[in-house]
Amino acid sequence: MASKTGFLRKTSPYVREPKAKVEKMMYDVLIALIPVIIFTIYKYEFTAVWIILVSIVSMVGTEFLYYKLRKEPFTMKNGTALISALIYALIMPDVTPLWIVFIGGVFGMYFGKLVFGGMGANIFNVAGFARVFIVISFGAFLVYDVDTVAGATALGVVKANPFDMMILGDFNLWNMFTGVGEAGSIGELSGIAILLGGLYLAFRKSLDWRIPVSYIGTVLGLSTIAALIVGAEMTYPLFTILSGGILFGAIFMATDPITSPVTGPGRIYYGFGLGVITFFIRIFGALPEGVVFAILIMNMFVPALDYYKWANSKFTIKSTLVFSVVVLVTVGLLVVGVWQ
Amino acid sequence: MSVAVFFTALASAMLINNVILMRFLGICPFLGVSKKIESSIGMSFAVAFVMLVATLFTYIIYYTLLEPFDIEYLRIIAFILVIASLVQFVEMFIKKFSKGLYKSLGIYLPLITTNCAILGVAEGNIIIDFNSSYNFFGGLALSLTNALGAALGFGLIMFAFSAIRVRLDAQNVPKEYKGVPISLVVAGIMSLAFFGLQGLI
Repeated sequence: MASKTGFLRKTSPYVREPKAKVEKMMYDVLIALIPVIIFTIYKYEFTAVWIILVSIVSMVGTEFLYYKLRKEPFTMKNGTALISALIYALIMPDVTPLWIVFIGGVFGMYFGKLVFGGMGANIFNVAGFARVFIVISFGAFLVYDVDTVAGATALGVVKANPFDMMILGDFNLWNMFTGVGEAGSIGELSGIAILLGGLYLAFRKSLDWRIPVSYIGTVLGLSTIAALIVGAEMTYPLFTILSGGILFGAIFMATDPITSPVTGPGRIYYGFGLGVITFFIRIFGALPEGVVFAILIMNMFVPALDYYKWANSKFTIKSTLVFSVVVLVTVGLLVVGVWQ
Repeated sequence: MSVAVFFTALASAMLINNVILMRFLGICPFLGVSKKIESSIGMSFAVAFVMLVATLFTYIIYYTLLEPFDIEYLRIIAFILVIASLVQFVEMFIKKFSKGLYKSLGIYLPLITTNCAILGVAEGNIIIDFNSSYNFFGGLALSLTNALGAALGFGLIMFAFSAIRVRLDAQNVPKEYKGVPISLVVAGIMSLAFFGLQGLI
């Protein structure tokens, strides 16, 4: 990282947000996470505290040791490792054994960020990668705890039969919005807390509204179409958005300035892709939840969206045409898939 | 046989059972020819072309020659022979009739002879045995759809991966990870991410 003159070479958020300082953006995200963390600790008490602590120790500790052992200058002050650690902790199920949290944190930080060259160089979202790694390696340990009041997680139940309105009726939308009586990943429960953080970030211009808006909009649109086809009630789209990690992923993970595209249109395509993959995994896939997978899959297309030969900061006629064809094909696929 | 069957076959071969990320075939061009976006696109077109032609020929040969004479166990040798000679023939043909295409594919065509993705897709189509559930021509159409989907999936991943490598080249990757090691790490993460699409169809 250090050049011969001894100063720290800095990359990313600058390119993507010209006026931003890394510290400002990162502290904004920290502040925005506070309501979510407070709610999580209120709900899960010491379980949540331990998961968050282990996650911070594993991720920040790995980064610290890495640079100490390589004797390279670095700064902890920008807080990127801390934020990855907090997000990673908040997308854990509450029953995750702490040693799995630790392994995922170390592995994710090392192979997700440090081998790429540290801050600003990673291709994949660190927290998302760590989560996917432990889902695939230790899937059997991540079964959600069944809450005696709320029953199983909303998505786990709905997975069996996506459009059964009797089942959907068991989940009170208001409860899902406030997050009071539901089960799930520790930080993804309360829609209000997440939206508060999101509004704060948008107000401070520390996130680009295009990504969450196009992400959530796409999921809303697709689920409305699906609900129309099978004749489900119109609460289904709202249910889709409030259940699972879509809100949290859209606001805190997809907007990561390092792993999202630079251009405005690119960000809209990115959000669209996220929405499509998330929704398709949910209603057709083997897993109940697809947010982290969608984020990783779209991350791998970000360099292609950003490639200098065709990345454009304005919508052109050609790009709009291609995009509308893609939208039409997606809707067609959905219609064919749901109809069967 | 409805349109949905073809749709399913295409999407399944392209995304869910992606040749590179889920079946680990064709890793050699995936790592070797992905340094530049242009060359990865050229390679993908060449692979798509050969994959379709090879599937066509191997399918016909298997069901008209090998199966009637009960020598199915020879199919791998037969397919290798067919694919290698086919690629050579196609190369000579293109060289003679289309200089432009030959120039753009030229380097990659001989390489494809040893690309296991081609043999894997041709062999896979025989193993799935479309022929018994549909008639000869229906099975042929499904096999070709399968090959097209595999080729599209190959191209999609090559394209994304080459863009990632171009971006990584411009970055401060630690010395010991520069070049192929970091590409392998990226490929591993991509494969993990595609695991999420499992069971989509």
